Amino acid sequence: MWRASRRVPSRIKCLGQGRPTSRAQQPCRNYAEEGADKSAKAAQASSSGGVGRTILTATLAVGAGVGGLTVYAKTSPEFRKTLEGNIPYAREYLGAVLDRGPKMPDLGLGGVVDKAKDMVGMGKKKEEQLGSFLPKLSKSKADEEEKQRKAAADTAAQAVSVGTDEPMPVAAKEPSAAHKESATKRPAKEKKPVGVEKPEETAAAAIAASMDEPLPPESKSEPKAKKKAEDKPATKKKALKEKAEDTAAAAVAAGMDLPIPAKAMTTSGEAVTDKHVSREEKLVETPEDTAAAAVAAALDQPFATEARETPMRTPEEVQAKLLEKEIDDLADRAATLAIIQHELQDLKRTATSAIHAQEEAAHATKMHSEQIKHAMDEDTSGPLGKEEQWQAVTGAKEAQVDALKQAEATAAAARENLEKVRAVIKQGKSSLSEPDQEILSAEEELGKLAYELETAVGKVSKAQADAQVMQEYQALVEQGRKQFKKELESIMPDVKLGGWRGKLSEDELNSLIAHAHRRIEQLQSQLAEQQLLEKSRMDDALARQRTEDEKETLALLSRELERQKRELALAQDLRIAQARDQYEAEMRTQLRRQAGAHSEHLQDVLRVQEQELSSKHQAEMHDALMDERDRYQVKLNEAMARLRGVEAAIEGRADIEREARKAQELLIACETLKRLINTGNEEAASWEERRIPLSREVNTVKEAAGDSKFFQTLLGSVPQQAMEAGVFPEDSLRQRFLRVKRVCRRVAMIDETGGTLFQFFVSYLQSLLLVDAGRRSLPPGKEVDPKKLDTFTLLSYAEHSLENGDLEQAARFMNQLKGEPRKVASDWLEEARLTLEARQAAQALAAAAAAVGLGNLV
Amino acid sequence: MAAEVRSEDELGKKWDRCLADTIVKMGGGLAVGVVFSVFLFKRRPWPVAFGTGVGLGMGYSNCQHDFRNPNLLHGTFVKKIEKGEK
Repeated sequence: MWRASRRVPSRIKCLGQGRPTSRAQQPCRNYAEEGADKSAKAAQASSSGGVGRTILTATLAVGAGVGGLTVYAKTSPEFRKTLEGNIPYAREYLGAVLDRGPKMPDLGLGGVVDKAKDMVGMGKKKEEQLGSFLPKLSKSKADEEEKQRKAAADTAAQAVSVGTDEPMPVAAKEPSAAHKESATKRPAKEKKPVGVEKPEETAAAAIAASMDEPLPPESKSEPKAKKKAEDKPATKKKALKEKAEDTAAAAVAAGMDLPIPAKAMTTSGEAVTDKHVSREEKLVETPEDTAAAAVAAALDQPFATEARETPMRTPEEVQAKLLEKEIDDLADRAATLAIIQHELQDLKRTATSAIHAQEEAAHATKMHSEQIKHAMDEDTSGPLGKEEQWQAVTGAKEAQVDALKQAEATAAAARENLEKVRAVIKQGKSSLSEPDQEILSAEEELGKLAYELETAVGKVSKAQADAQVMQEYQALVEQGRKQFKKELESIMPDVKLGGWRGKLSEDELNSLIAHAHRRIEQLQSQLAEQQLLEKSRMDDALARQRTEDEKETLALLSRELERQKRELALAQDLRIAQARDQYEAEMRTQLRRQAGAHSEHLQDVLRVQEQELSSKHQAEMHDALMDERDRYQVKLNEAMARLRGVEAAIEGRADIEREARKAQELLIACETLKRLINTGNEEAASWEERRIPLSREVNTVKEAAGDSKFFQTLLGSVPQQAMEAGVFPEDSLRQRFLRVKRVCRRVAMIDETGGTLFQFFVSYLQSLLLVDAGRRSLPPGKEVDPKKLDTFTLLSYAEHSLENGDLEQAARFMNQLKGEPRKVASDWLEEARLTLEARQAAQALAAAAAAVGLGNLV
Repeated sequence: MAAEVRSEDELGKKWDRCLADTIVKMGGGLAVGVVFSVFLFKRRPWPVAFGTGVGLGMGYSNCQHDFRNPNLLHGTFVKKIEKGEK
C-alpha cells in the first residue's frame, strides 16, 4: 500500500510544482505520476471492495477445497489414509465429520434397572412363597376340620341310622348337610346341636312309639341311647373343641398365662350346683382363650414337623412343647367339662321332669286305688253316688294311665340322658389323662339324680303294687259279686241284681231269703273254715308280706349300698384325682428338668465330639500338609539345583560375553573417538564450527575401558582443552592454514617487537611482490638448515606437507616461524598441536582396544 | 567475556580498530575545522582541511603506536555484575 510519493523534484520544470517562478513553464504532465496514480487508484478501488472480495474468495476457495477433500475422503478410504498421514489433525477432523459424531457414554444405568427388576421379582417370589405357606397352613387346618366334620357327620348318621327307621337318616342327613353347607364354624356348631337335638327328639318319639311294652324297649333303647349318647358327646366335644380353636385362631398362644386361668378354673371350687351355671359360662369363654394353645398346637403341627428336623432341641423348646401339651390337655378337659355340664343340665331337667311325672303317676295310682276302695266301700255317705264313684274310678284310671304313660316316657328319657351323661363322663374320664374334680362332681350329681329317679320309679312301682293289691281286692269282690249274681240268677233267673225295679213277689223273696240263708250257712261254714285257716293264711300272707318287704328292703338296701358305694367311689376318685394331679405336676417338673438336663448333656457331648473331631481333623490336615510340603520341598530343591547349574553356566557364558562386549564397546568407542577427531562435526556449515568437544566420547571410552590403568593413562593424555572445546579436524586446519598463510606472508617482515605502520606497509608490499610459486616439496632425505628457512619457505613447506596430509610436519615447520608471523600462526599451531595430541591418544587407544578385543575373541 | 580472537585475525582486528579510530579522528577534526571555519574564520576552507589533517595525523600516530607495541593490552570497561545476575 504504497502511494506514489510526491517528491519535490530537484529542478522545477513544469507548472504546478514548487513555487511559481518567473520562468516560462509548461504545465506538468505527470505521466509517471498519472500512471502511478492510476495504479494507486486501481489498487485503491480494488482495495476498498477488493479486501472483502479477496477474503471472500479466499474463504470460499479454502472451504471448497476442504469440503471436496472431505467428500472424497468419505468415498475413498485410501485417500483418507493419505490425508490423515500427511495433514496434521486431519484424523480428528475426519473422524468427527464422517463417523457420525461421538457415542454417548455408558453410565451403567441399564445394569441398575436390571438389578432393581431382579429385586422386585425376588420380592414378589418371596411374597408368593409366604402367601403359599399361609394358605397351606389354613388349608391344613381346614382339611382337619373338614375331616372332623365328616367323621362327626358319619358317626352321627351311623349311630342314628343303626337304631331306627327312616325319619332318622333324613334328620341325620340334615345335620350332615348342614355341616357341609356351613362355611363358617360357628353356624355349624349352632346347627350341630340342633341336629343333635332333632335325633334325640325322634329317638324319644320312637321310644314313645314302642312304649307298649315299657320295659324291654327301654332296655333296647338304652344301648341305643348309650351308643347315641356316646357318639353325640364325641361330636359335641369335637364341635366345641373346633369352636374353641377357631374363635381363638386369631389370638396366638400367650404361653404361661394360659395354664393359670385354666388351673384357677379347675381349683376354683367343688361342684356346686349354683356355680355350675357361672362356671359353664366361664367355660364357654375360657375354652376360647385357653384353647389358643390348642390352636397353636394345631397350627404348630407343620412347624413342629419342621422343627423336628433340627438336630437338637433346647430345653426351652422342650418346655414349650410340654406347655403346649398341657394347654392342649386343658383345652380338652375344658371342652369335655363343658359338654358334661351341658348334658348334666339336660339331665337335670329331664330327671326332674321324670321325677315329677313319676310322682304324678304314683299319686294318680294312689288316687285310683283310693277311688276304687272308696267305690268298693258300700259307704254312700260320700259326696258322690255309687255310679259317680265308679265314674270317678274310671276317670282316675284314665288319669293313672296317662300319668303312667307320661311317667314312663319321662323316665325313659331321663334314663337315656343319664346313660348319655354317664357315657360322656366315662369318655371324658378315659380321654383325659387325669380325672377332674369337675367330672367327679358331675358324677356325683349323676348319681344323685339317678338315685332320685330310681326312688321315684320305686314309688311308682310301689303305688302300682298297691294298686295291684287293690285291683285284686276289687277283682275278688267282683268275683264274689259275680258268683252271687250267678247264684242268684240260678235261683232266680229273672231277678237282676242291678235292677231293683218294682217289687219282688213273695216267692221270689222267700227263695231269695232261703238262698240267702243257705248262703249264710255256707258262708258261716266258710267263715269257720276261714277262721281255721286264718292263721295259716295269715302266716302265708305275713310270709308273703315279709318276702315283699324283704324284697323292698333289699331293693332299698341295694340302692343305699349303691349310693354309698358310689359316694365312696367318688371320694376315692376324688382323692385319686388329687393325688394324680400332684404326681402329674411333679412328674412334669421332673420331666422338664430331665429334658433340660438331657438337652444340656447332648450339647456337652456334641461339643466334646466336635472338639475331638476337629482336633483329629487338624492332626490329619497337618500331617497331610507336612507330607505335601516335604514333597514339594524335594521337588523344589531339585529344581533349584538345576536352576543353579543353569545359572552358573549362563553366568560363565555371560561373563565371557560381557568381556567380549566390553572389548567391543571399547573398540567402538575408541574408533568413534578417532573418527571424531579426524572428521569433527560433519554437519557444520564452515570449518570454524567443525569442532566438537571430545568429552563425551572420551567418557564413553573411559566407561568402556573400566578399571584398566593403561587405558586410564592413555585417556589422561588427551588434553583438557580438546575435551572441553574440541579439536579441529585436519581439513579445517588446512582451510584455516590458507588464511594464516596469507596473513603471515603479509607480516613476514615484522618481528616480535612490533613495527611501524610503514614497516607493515612495506611488508605488505613485499608479500604482494613475492610470487607464490606453489607448494614446495621438501627434497627427500635432505636435511633442512634451520637458518636458511624464512617465513615464505616455511609456509610453503607447511602448505605442502598439509596438502600431503602430514599435519605433524606442517606443525613442525610452522613452529619454526619467528616474529610476527609466529604470533599470527600461534593459534593455528596450538590447534594443530591439540589435534595431533588427541589423534595420537586416540590411535593408541584404538590400538590397545583392538588388542584387547582380539585377545577376547578367543 | 569477549569472544576469543584468533591470532591470525588479531592483526586484522587491529587494522580495523586503527582505521575506525582514524576515521573518527578525522571526522572529529573535520567537525572542529568546520566549526572553526564557520564561526571563527569566516567560512574559509583551511580550518576544515587543517582539522581533518589533525585527525588523520592523530589516527596514524595511534595506529603506529599500537602496531609498534603489540604486547600492550587494550582494556575495556566491564559492567559490574550484581550478585543476583549471572
